[in-house]
Amino acid sequence: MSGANARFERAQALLPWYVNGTLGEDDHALVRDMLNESLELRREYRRQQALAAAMRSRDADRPSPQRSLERTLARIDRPAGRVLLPALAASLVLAMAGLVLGLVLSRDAGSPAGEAAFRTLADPAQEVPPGALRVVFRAATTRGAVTDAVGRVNGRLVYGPPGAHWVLVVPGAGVTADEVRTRLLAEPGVVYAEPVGNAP
Amino acid sequence: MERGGYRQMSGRPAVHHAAGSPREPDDEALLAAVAAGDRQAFSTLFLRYQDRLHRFLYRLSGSADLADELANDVMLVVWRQAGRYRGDARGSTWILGIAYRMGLKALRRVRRRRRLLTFVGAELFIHADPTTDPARELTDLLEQGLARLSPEQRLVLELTYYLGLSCEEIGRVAGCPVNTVKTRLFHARRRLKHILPQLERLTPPPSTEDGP
Repeated sequence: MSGANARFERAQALLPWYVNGTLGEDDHALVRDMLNESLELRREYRRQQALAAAMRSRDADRPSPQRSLERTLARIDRPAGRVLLPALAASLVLAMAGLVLGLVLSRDAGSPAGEAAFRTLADPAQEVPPGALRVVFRAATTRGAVTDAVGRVNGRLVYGPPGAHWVLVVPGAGVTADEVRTRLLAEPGVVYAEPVGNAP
Repeated sequence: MERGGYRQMSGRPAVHHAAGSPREPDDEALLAAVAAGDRQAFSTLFLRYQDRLHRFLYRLSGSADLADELANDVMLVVWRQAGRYRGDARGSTWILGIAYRMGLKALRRVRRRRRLLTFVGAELFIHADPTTDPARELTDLLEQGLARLSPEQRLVLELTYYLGLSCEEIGRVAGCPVNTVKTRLFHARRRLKHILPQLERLTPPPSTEDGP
């Protein structure tokens, strides 16, 4: 195969991603150059554009997003498996026992930088304080860094489940939840900070 | 429902929120919050993806009802498995990967059932009525062309032309090498060769001859 043929075939293989605009610089330049040189490739390019346009125009009857969400949330809340076969139940019990044992054994070793896990300060299942934010930190963030970050933004840490990388924070005196959230989002270790609301 | 922490996400870029909008958490941040059991984050993610997933799965199955059911199943898996997201690919790639695997699995199940009913063929994708409406003609033509493709080929087309993913991202979604992606698309284009000139005739010309 000649060099020109090889370049043509390579450009032809890359054409779909030239059409959708995701090619890297070098590949993009290769296809662009070949398009200038080859009438056949230009014809193929136009057909690919037509195919892409046709694919985008094709549609289905869409369900109501809100209704779908409600259905899925209801499934999340539904207790799992009403009827369990005895063998499945036995396997589940064994697996749970293994999991509990594993958790007990790895409890200390699992914390970032060997630090102790966050202490549970309250039970959010009972009541989430008004204005509380759920704040998720990068996994490598230590407990000390979390406490420092929350202190810096004038927030108050009210809950942190053991071994997790998220906490509940409420605004301290003189600041609003929105201000605390904005400041938290500027902290390098924070990946998420949003009010704990009532999802539908 | 409160859950334990998400697992290792260190090593991924510290992207917190969608660029330019501190109010809109990006997919990766939402997945981290979902892993922490945040229903609100899940709802945001659900509404962000529902349409995309539905269209993607509709392309695969040809059935709006099945696509609806599958899209919800995919998001249920996202809720349950968000703690496994490692952050080594974009959140969208991870979610579409789940949809891809679940979609193929469901399609195989449907086909097995249909074989039992000896109701074979591409009837799902072909409209019977001839039409003079150009938009409908275009849709029919495309449906007929897509019906000739394997599910894998259809999905690669979909991921490329509708969802606009790069070749590498498609490889991650489909769990196959980049060369396999290119080969699938190459064969898909070959199988569609007979309809491409007609598609070109029915599709309005792009505003510019220049590439992207």
